[in-house]
Amino acid sequence: MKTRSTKVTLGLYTFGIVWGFVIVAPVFWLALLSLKTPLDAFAVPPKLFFEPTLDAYFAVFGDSKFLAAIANSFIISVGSVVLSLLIAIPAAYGLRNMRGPLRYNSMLAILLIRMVPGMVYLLPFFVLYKYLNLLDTHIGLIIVHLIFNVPLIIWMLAPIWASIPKDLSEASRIDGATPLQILLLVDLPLVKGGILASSILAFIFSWNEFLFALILTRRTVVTLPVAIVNFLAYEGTEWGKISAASMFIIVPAMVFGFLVRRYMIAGLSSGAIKG
Amino acid sequence: MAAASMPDTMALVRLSYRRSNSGYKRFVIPAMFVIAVLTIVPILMTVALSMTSLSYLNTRPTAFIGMENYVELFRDQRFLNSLWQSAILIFGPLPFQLLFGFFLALTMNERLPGMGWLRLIFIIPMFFPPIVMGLMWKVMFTPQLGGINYYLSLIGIQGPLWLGEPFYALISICIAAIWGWTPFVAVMFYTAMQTFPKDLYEASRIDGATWSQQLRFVTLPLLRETALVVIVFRIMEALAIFPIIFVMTSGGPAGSTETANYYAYTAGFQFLKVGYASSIILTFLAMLFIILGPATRMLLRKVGAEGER
Amino acid sequence: MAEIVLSNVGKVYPNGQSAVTDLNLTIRDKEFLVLVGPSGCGKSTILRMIAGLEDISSGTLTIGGRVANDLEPKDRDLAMVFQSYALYPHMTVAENIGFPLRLAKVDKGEIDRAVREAARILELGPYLDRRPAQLSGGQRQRVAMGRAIVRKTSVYLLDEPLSNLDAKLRDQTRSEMVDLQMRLGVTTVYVTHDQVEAMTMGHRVAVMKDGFLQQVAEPKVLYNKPVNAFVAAFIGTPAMNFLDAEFVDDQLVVAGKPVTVTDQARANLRTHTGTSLTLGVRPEHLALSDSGIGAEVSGVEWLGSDAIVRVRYSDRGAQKTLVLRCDGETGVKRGDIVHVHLGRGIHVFDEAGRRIEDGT
Repeated sequence: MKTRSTKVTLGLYTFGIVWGFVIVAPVFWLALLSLKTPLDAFAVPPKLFFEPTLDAYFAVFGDSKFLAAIANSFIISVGSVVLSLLIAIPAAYGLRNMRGPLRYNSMLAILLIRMVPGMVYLLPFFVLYKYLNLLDTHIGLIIVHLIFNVPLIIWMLAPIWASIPKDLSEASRIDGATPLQILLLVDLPLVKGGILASSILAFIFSWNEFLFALILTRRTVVTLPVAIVNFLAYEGTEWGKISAASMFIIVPAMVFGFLVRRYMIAGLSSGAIKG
Repeated sequence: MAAASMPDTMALVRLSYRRSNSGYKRFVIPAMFVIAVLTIVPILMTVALSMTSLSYLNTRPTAFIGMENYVELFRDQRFLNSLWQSAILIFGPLPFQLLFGFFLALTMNERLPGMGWLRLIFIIPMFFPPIVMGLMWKVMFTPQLGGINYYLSLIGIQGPLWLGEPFYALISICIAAIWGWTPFVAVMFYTAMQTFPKDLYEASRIDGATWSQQLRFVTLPLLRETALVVIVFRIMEALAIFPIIFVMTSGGPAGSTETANYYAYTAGFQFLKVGYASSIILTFLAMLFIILGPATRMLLRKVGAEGER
Repeated sequence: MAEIVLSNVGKVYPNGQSAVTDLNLTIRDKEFLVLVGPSGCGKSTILRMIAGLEDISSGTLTIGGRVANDLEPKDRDLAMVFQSYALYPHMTVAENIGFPLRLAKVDKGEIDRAVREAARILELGPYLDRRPAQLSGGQRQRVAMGRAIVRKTSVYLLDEPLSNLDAKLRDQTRSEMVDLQMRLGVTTVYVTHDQVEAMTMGHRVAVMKDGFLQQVAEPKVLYNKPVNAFVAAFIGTPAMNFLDAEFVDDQLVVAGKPVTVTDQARANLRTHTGTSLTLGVRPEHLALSDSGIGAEVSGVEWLGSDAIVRVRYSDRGAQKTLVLRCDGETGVKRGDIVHVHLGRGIHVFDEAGRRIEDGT
């Protein structure tokens, strides 16, 4: 259909391709850097073609501190997701079935909490953790991540849950199921896609989180984002190692992110858009 | 009669809510309890801390000093600078994010060959760890290491010392922020656009609207609410550039890229003046809420209405 | 002066699916033509091709004597009302109605006058400052009409404009729209799936099925002389009864009983001797009598002035149902044994479903 001039379409297409290039170019540059020798890295003019080396990757994965950071990041992300799900799923279920101002106010409160900058929580948690000896522990960071992941999951699941016809759970209620039975036997199987998606987003949040990890973990329980920064601080200009480690940290986030991109949009807009 | 029966009706409604909600409350209470303990307690603690002289650096006993921290705050030039710099780093990238995001959303909305792949590329920054984003742009802007200045020189432009000069350091961070969060804006706009009825576009076409008239009279007015949501989200989340500042400039050179958020970090965890840092972040938070107050209330009403459904 | 002529028009979608095949249809100047058919029959595609929202794959479309195949919608001198009304939610009623003029860069005073005039015709005066969300379904529908009226085009295209209204309002709006079209004298193409709308509103009705035009005729002709069994079944409620029939020994036989037909029909039927035929008869043309097909009453729906009576009879061992429209005073009830008389209003269709002429 000759809906509109091809000029417009062409213009948008060009803009899209240019923007795609803008996005890819620096990532590509970083990827190249991870394969360069230190000498190639600083060559002028910059070398786009060179003999790639995996030295940086060997160095990174030979570094016991970095390996420990991978384990820490993994433990904290998974731990935080599991704990968040345990708290958030029943809450999302309850809120979905509730009516009236109580539900409205609860949803609002949860959203507001998500919007407060992390720094506000960071200072008291630091003081508190120092007192409770929770600094530099896995559980300490897991608990703090709950602040963000529980609201995230509730707000993502609520609209997904609401899109499932209530008839099913009402039918089972008439058949004599208790709310807990309805949750476990009827509703959970229906929203498992949403639960998976929200868990993945929560995982990505914990995996990428920097500020709390920086302050609340210092020596033993260092996570990946902090470990990379430590390369920057302690090893001066070890750019190869930094870029190799960066490549490693973005891969899980990317892969998972693409898997749930459809849900993420729902989670981002949190229904605010649809109203 | 209506007036007399009104309160009764409301009571009945409330009662019916209470009855239908009673079975489900116990599913919500644990989450509410956890959230309250994890957030409200710390916020109250921050308020309390901001009125103390707590500092891990000196050995003097911590004392309650009332509003003294706040009074000092407004004499602290560094804090006042940080407010100004926060404004630049929050509002500087915003128009670009909105503009580029809008056109990106239009592009995503097209059915063109390869668009599936392009859409995938567009959202890459959304999952990017901010810390890696910062490192990546630090690399790009570091002389020799990043190619930016070399390629600029090819077209005859002498690139500045990006991260070494206050003005360009701010611009560098803005560029990173535009790269990082334009996709969010685009995706929000794109999602909204997909809900716009096709009929409106067909009707306006029959009525003689050109493409640009459709943008002006149909698309843009319909996007107004989404744009409000996006702006509020972007301002609140602009503080997420902390890791980017941390690795790109550490607030420098000469404190020129230090936001209030960042100053709170420096004061609290480098100078270890926790009490003072608390007053910084609370003041900044209050300012944010005052600026965003009206927009946020509107947004929350809408979001709340959605939650109500 | 706008006659719309579709000659040999076809629409094939890129995926190879054919929506409209070889359509020849002339919509006369000032005519109210209704396109009707079950969903997926291609009626909306035709409307959208006329509007210019869909490409025409083959054939020619002329509007007011001009070939319009490649004209932009806005250059076709037509206005369209959508099923959803397509009102701009952010504009007031006045802005919605005036929008086409605003696009055409008509000056403000002129737009204002035109909007007021349209609002007067449609009785929308008090609502001009409201937004669509604050209007009832019927009012929205009128605003959509207003947007069409204000352009003073010579063709209106209406895509199921009443389907979002409730039944009572629909009945009322139907006659209002017919009246409006008469007054404005604008060539109108109206798409609907509702045969009652088609019959009550159209000067002529075009019946579509699977992308093929079945018949285009005035409602009365469509009702009394459907060209085939599909049209016969589609038009009329309750639907026409269909019975298996045979032509043997120079007689039309149904359920073992001969049925009287006109001489002309008999002559035409001779060529179909021995083939399996279908006899169609409308519920009001069946009568309960002393003789005829023996049947048992299986249900009575009393509607007031008349009653719909369902009866079961057996034809060569198979149970069949007939529907009759009887007088409201009829005393039959479920379980009664009755006789159904076939006499008036008989249509006979050949093996392919085509009507066999009876000369009436």
